Amino acid sequence: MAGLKSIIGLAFVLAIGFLFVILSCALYNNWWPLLVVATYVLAPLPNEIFGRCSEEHGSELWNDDDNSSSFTDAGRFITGILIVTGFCLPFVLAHAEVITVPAMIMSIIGGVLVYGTIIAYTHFFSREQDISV
Amino acid sequence: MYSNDEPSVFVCANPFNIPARLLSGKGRQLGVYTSSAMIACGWWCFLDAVIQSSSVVGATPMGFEDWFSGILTTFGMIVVNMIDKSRLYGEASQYDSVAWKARLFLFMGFALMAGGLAGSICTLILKYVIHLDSTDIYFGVAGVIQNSLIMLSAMVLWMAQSAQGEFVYNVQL
Repeated sequence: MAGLKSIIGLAFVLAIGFLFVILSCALYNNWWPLLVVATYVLAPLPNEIFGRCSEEHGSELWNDDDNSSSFTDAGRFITGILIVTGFCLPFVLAHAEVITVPAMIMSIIGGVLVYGTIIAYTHFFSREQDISV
Repeated sequence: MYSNDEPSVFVCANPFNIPARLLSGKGRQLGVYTSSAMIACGWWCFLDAVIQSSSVVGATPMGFEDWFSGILTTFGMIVVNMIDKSRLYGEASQYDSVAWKARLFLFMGFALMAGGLAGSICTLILKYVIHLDSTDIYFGVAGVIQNSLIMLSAMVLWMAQSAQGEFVYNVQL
């Protein structure tokens, strides 16, 4: 039950991340930074989907020795693009003066917290699965 | 081509192999992430320029001529990285049509990428440098940055994917 504390901690971090993003939107009455959350929530999905895809195809055909195939590579590629998009989008919005610089900083911090929570949670969860199996 | 497990008389067999060995486990993953970050940075740099040109009053509008080279380079990257690498290294026997086709497509992909980079430099000079619209030169430079980042990203992805066992291959290429 050591995992219970970390789950609660992760939930708090997630809530703080959302707080930052929503503050960055609501303080300036400008809801563009919400897109950042969308990119960060979408970011782990390709990795998961393509990873599952390569698992199902069996190990000897698609996977190499270090457990990488073109499927997992494609998933990682799209995930990486989405992560960098989450960073670049607030910069571009701030540069175009759609949002202010403090809103940009807050949305980036919030986005990183949300994404870190998702990553930490999946890491934790997959380790649990490994133990049970 | 020396394999790694060949016995060596020296204590440190090949000093250039050490980073390769350190990276061997996560190298491919790291390379793929790096290349995706590079291509995203390139496209966002360009999109920033496009947004600037339409939102700042009095800036030079960016049209299809600015987009074209980036699209060419991206297309070239897709072509180059969709080629099955094992086909290329097949021995060049006289009528090996598959290796021949693979090399043709590889050449086309690299030509597309080089053409895109050249096109962006061409746009920078012809559209922005000659007219010298003071601040607007950023729009042209952003195109050049975009295309070179996409090219670099294609190379990093290529190296990461061909880095299976031996690092010798990609150094050769």
